Amino acid sequence: MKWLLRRELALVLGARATWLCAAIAALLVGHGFVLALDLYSAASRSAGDYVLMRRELDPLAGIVRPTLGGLYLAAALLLPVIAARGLAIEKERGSYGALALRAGGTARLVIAKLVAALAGGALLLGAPLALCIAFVLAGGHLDAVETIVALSGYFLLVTVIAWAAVATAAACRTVAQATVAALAFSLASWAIDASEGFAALAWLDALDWVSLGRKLVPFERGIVHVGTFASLAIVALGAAAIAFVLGAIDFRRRRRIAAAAIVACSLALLWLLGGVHRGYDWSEQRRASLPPAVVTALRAIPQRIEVDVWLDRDDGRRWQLERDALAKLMLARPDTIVHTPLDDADRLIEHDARYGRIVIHAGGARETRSTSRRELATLVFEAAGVALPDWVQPEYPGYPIVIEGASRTLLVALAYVVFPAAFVIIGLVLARSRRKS
Amino acid sequence: MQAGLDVELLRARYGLRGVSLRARRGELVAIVGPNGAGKTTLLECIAGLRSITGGAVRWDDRPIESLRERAAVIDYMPDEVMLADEMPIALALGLDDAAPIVAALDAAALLRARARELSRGEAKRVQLAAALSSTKPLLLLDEPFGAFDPRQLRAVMPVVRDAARDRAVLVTVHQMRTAELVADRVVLLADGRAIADGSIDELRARVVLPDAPFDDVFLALLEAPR
Repeated sequence: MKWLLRRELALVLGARATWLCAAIAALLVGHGFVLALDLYSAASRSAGDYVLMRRELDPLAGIVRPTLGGLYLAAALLLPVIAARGLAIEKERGSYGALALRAGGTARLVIAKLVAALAGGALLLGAPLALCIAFVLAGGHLDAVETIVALSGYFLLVTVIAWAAVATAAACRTVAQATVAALAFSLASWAIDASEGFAALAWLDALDWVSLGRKLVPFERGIVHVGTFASLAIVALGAAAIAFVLGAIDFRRRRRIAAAAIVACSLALLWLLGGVHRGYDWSEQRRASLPPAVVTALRAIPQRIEVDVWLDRDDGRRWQLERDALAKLMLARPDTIVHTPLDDADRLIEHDARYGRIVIHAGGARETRSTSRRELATLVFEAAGVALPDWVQPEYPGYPIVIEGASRTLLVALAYVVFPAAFVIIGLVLARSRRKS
Repeated sequence: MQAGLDVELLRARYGLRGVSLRARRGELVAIVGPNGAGKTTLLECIAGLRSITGGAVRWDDRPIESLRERAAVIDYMPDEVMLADEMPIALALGLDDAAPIVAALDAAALLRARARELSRGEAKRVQLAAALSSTKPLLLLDEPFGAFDPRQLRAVMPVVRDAARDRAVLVTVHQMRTAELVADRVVLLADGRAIADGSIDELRARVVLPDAPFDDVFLALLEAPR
């Protein structure tokens, strides 16, 4: 097994294609980082001495999230190429069966392929990790715990895509077929994510529970969300199970039925996990949550909390409400039920009079048109007939920083040149010819 | 000779129509036949890499059915070059350059190369070294001699012969002269059936060509009424 693992790692990490993909990924991540850095510096400069503006300067949102955005693009477009190749090339060359015999069965071989694919995928995390460290060394602030939470979400994403690529390779006969199938998997999730911004793709919104991108949102806010964590783990394990089943050589028909059953079970679990809203706020100073006293009091309210949001899915106020006030309310009360009646209605013309209302039910009912988290929480307590506790929250100080001059030049060089070039050089060294002519 | 491989009426779609053969430990059996006769299919079916529609494979009088059971007994070298281009050979094949078989096949220098740096003949030589270094009691070698020049062939054949001292070896061979030199017994396949099985002398006697080159014996066996 040790030999097999070393062999598979050599197959993935010795391939120039792997390092070229890692270099391109580093470039994409680096570009996101530099854009974020300049924007963050400009915002920090304009914040000046205004305390309220300084508090808005959050490096997790301003630096880490945009940097990881480049990683999402790279993982979706490039990782299938790296991860599918290891198994697909054996099938294409007709060596898969002989290797399985040498390995003592297909299970061991598939395990080694999964580990190697994950190692190839983990390479993509190298650039964002290095850039985060470089940002800190340049004087920036990053909270270690919330940054690790964000990175761990992306590690799960990488695991899902890498193992799905191995599963597609197990199902296909050639490298090209496997790569195309794996790309179709990762790009399908992208299409669902795109539906959020385009009314024309609204019909895809019904599939948001299978979107990988949307499952990353809590991680990017420093929240360990049980439902999304479990969903990503289920998809990854489901993909690994399919790789085992389709990678087996015996009983072809039964294998296909088993693979279909795994897909069906995984989808059912994903759908069920969509209703799990419990999460743990690991952001610095728990800024992704409502004030601690409010959270405690909300949890003590015996009535079920329901919120009717009469806003269209493309309305910016709804976007703000969902990502701030409702997200924080759901963290405190995972059993909160949110209704969005306009999503099911034909269009909003016939509901014109009600448009913009946010109705809170908690025993009684209250109504507002504000999307403020404080207003929403206040109305929950009013509806429940409970006094609003003190709204005291440790103040997030914000971390403005202007990175310019030599520091900026150095970071830009790291992002655009040093890290991508390092991957190219490592690839060339590892894949260099060994035989003297 | 001890008990070993027994293949009983093996059938497979697009290839085999009921092939039976045996190979005892210490015996090297050459599978010969025209193109499309089912030689590779037969080895793949024995190895469990292709589904069968009938028949059975036994090792030491016990059926071996799952791939895991077969993996405990069989090592298989396919005809294809099974090395991905970038793989360092020693790692790809799990070969140590101190292994006696590596020296016997003069392959030590090749182990330091990557697969893309080897010719087809060199790649086959290191694959053969890997297969022969296996400790499993049944070796299936698909066209192991096909890519060698006469000098290499002369060096390789005794090594393969030697490998059959304590295990059963099945090799598919296209050159009848090679089969004659290396095999204890020859099984002739045609149209997915074993139409002849015996030692070289037995097969010669069967077509009454006692001193003829084995190519002529092969053709006579193919053309003989069945």
